[in-house]
Parts: sequence; C-alpha cells; structure tokens
Amino acid sequence: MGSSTLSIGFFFAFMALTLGITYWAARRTRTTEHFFAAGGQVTPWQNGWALAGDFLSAAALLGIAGIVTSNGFDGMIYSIGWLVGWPIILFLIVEPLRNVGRFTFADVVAYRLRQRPVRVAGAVGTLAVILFYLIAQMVATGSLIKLLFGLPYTWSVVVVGSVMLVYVLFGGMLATTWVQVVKAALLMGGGILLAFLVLTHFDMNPLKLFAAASEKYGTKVLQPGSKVVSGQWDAISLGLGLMFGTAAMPHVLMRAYTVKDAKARGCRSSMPPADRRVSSHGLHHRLWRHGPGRRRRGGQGRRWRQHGRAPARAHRRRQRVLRLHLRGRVRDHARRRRRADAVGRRHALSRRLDQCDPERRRFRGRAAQGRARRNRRDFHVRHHAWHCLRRPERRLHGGPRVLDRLRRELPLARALDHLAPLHAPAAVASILVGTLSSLVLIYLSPTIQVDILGKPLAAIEHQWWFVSLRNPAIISMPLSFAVAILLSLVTREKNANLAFDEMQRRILLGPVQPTTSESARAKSAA
Amino acid sequence: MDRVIPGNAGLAPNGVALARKLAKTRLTVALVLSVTMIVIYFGFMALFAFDKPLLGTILMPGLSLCIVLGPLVIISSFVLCLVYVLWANRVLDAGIRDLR
Repeated sequence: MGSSTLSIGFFFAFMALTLGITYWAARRTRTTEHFFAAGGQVTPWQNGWALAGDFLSAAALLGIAGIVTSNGFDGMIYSIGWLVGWPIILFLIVEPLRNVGRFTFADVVAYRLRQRPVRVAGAVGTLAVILFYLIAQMVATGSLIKLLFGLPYTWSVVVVGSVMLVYVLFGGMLATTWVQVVKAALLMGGGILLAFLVLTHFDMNPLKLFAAASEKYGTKVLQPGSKVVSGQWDAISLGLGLMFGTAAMPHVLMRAYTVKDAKARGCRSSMPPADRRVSSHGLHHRLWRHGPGRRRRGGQGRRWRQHGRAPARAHRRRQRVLRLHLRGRVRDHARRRRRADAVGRRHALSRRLDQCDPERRRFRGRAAQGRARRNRRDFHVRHHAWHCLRRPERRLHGGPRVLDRLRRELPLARALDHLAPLHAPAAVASILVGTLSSLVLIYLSPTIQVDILGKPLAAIEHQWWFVSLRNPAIISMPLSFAVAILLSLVTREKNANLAFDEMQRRILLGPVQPTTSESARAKSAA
Repeated sequence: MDRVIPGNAGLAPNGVALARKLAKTRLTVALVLSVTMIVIYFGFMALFAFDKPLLGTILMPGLSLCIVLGPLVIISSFVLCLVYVLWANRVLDAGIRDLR
C-alpha cells in the first residue's frame, strides 16, 4: 500500500509539473519557429539536459537494468551501443545539420536536391522510425500505467498517447524541451541514488558487488553470453544499428535547431548584401587564377609569371583590350552581363532558399523573375559568341574570351560533378530502400516469424525468404548506400551541384542573410 | 554554359581559399575522430561476436575482461567528444572568426 501510494503520488506530481510547463510554454509559443525549434532560444546547457532526457528513456534505466538482471553482461551491449552513437552525431552530423537546415534533416537534403520528392521520402523514413520507436515506448508506458493504476492495458495506452499529444501539440518544442530537462534530472538523480544505495551494501566497491553476483549466479553473469544476440554477424549488425541508428534518430537530430548559436548569428549579421559584389569578384579571381596566363604562348605569359601577378594583369589587360577595340555594343554587353551575373546569382540563391523554406514560398514570383533574368543573360552570352564568330573583328578578341570562359568552367563543372554526385532520385530511392528493406527484413526474421507469429523455426528455416539475422542493419545500410551511389551515377540532375558550394560554405560558416526580401521582412518585423 | 555558383557569398577574395582549407581541416578532424570511434566500438563488438571466451576471461574475482573493456569504450567516446569540442572551440572558431 505504502509504496504504491508513493509511486502514484510521484506520478501525479510529475504530471502536474509537466502539464504546468506545457501551459507555460503554450502561452509563449507564437510562431512556427517557436513551435518547431523553441525559437532557437534554448541555451546549450538546457539543450544538453534535454538531449539527455530524449536519450535516457525508461529503457535506459529500467530496460537495461532488466536485461542485465536476466542476461548478465549482454545488457551492456545496448548501453554501449547507444552511447557510441553520440560522437558520430557530434563529429559528422550536428554542425552541418544546424548550419544548413531549419527544422529537420529533410531541409538539408532538400537544400540542393529537388524539394518535393526528397521531402516526401524523408517524411516516410522519419515516420517509419518514429512509429516503431513510439510503439515500443507506448507499450512500455502502457504496461507501467496498467501496473500502477490497474487500468486495462488498452486504456492505459490511450491515456499515455493523449498526454503525449497534449505536450507536443500545445507546448511545441519549448514544452518538450523543459519536460525532457525535468525527466533527465529525475532519471539521472534516481539512477545515481539507486547506484549509491546499492553500493552502500558492498562497501562502495563495485568489484565486491560483481563478485557477490557471480557467487550467487555463477561467473556466467560477468561473461558475454548469447541470449541477447545469438549470431556472430547478428551482433555486428546490432552494433551497426545501435551506433548509426542513434545518430539518425529524428527526435534527437531536431534538437540541433533549438539552440541559439551566437556564432551563426554573428555570421548572419556580418553578411550585408553589399558584400555580394566583393564575393562575385572573389569568384572571378578564382576562375582567373586557373585560367589564362599560363596557357598563353610568348613573352607575355613569361612576364606575367615573373611578376607573379598574372590574374590581375590579365584582368586589366582584358579590360583595356575590350575598351580599346570593342567599343559600343560589346562593351555594353560586358557591362550588362556583369550586372546580370550578380543579379542572377542573387536570384539563384534566393530561388534555392525559396525551394527549401516553406515560409518563403510566397516569394516564388521573384524566383521566376530570377530564372527569366538568367535566361536573358544566357541569351546575351550566346548572342555575343555568335557575333564573335560571325564578325571577324570581334572574333579576334571576344571569341577567345568566351572560349576561355568555357574552358575554365568546364573542368570546374566536372570537378563539382565528382564532388557532389548525389541526385534527387538516388536520395529518394536510398531513403525508401533503407526504410522498406529494414521493415521487410525484420518481418522475415525470427523476431517476427518465430517469436510473434509462433511459427516453428525448423519449419521456416529452409524457406527461400527466411532471414536468420534479427538485426537488419548489416544488410539494409549497405544496400541503401549502394542504391544511392548507383542511381547517382546513372541519373542526372540539373541543379544539384549549384547549391553544393553554397551548402559547403554554410556548413562552415552558418546561414547567410540571403536576400534583400528577407532583410526587409526582418526590418518590418522589428 | 554559365554556372551560377553562389558559394563565395560574403567572403573576401582570399577568404575563399582560407574557407576551403578550413572546411577541409574540419572534415579531416571529424572523419579521423569518427573512424577512431568506429574502430574502437567495432573492435569491441568483433570480440563480442567472434571471441566470447577471450572477452569472458576472469581477471580477478568479480572482474572479467568485458567489464573492463565495456566502460572503456564508453569513456573513449567521452574523450573523443571532448577532443572535438576543445579543437572546435580553439581552432575552428578562431579560424572562422579570422574569415569574417
């Protein structure tokens, strides 16, 4: 009676506290940004605790304790596997994710690939993961409620589900964050307290605890067994799933967006639109450095090399030649081209961002303008080239210039193709193949066929479809990567490489203030 | 014909090369640390999968090899995270500040 009343009291106190937090958070949530990412207002420490809360589910405290109790050391495999996923998240995923996307990983994939199919595939993958993750959580919590209150199991699950929905729907990310902080503090406090209380029985010496356990249950408790994972490759596969699965948990990844990042903000504010002009010069310099001078024959090239300032000289010389010999239309063309170049680049960036960001969709009209401008600019270049070929006096100077451009840019295009060959169909297929193959393989594995459907192992062992692995990661992960690589080699996507450079830059420096439209919006909001 | 590459927006001309170098360094550090973690963890898992008797060696009463190695894997993950965070705070952030 006593302990049951105590646990029911704790339960209601926790519910009251968390629902109070939800109410408080719901009153503070105003915008989409607030709802999905807590307005980016969570401090790193809070976020760290919230991550710990996300991660330390009941499974960490009760589940692993249970596995260790019943199977000895094997239970540790789970806790180790979950933990080693974290460094992978930190090293490879969080920073690029935080700097490129806005709310979810799909933002990142959709950043440089065709938006709609990639997002749909991302949603399918995420929902599949969340669904199966949630099933386990709901079953566990439902059983717990049933144990505490004696409610029928079905109703326990319904109650738990509704409370979860209240947290998320009303409180958004802010409430979820604080509920997780409370949960993490309680779980860690409880865990440490329990460990301390247990150790007081053994002179605070874990070795004595282990020795006592092995005395009572045999040394098997301290040795790896084969109850949790039976097969050899199954164990490796479980390891893959634990390490890289943790690194792909949607609810963990989305925490990357709730932190306010002073660094990113600093980058953003120091990125005035005026810099764009400088930057286009930077691009040209880079192109020039690889381009002329070296390939020219005769004394000029040698002199440039001696002086070591070929690019600037080439630039100036080209400008002078243009001014002297190609007055009138060609000069106008050049000027218009430069202007169009800058405008087009700005619009390409803006269009890319429009595609990524649902909130910016309404600027699509501007994007169309950008496309039109780019078409016009391309027309100018083609027009110019045609004139150069047709009129000998222009062929002399303009022709080499256009051809030079072509020669300079083609290797760059090829290099980009090598660097960034992922295309939308490949990304979509890879996500879907990964998700579906995992589901199908689990369905065909003994976990479902024998443990749940109750078929005798001997009867299905020789079927062609039988998969002996209980953990599918070792098959589905390479399969998914292989599909992505193969399809990327086969298909072509027109614009996939355009945003790759920008994405690389963002990964390093954080988001830019992209167009005047957004700064205008920010101003009007202020 | 005319590829639009908005990759250098906001950087000074010499910043492009610096940024590329910094990006490359970041990727290298991240990859080296990840590979270290993967090697440590899958080394442990390979022992678990293929050589259980070795992992089950009892070193002293109440202590088997796996009970030593398991927590060591966890500690190594903390240490690697610490290395990355220290490196990022000292080198990467300073480099990014210099770019601005």
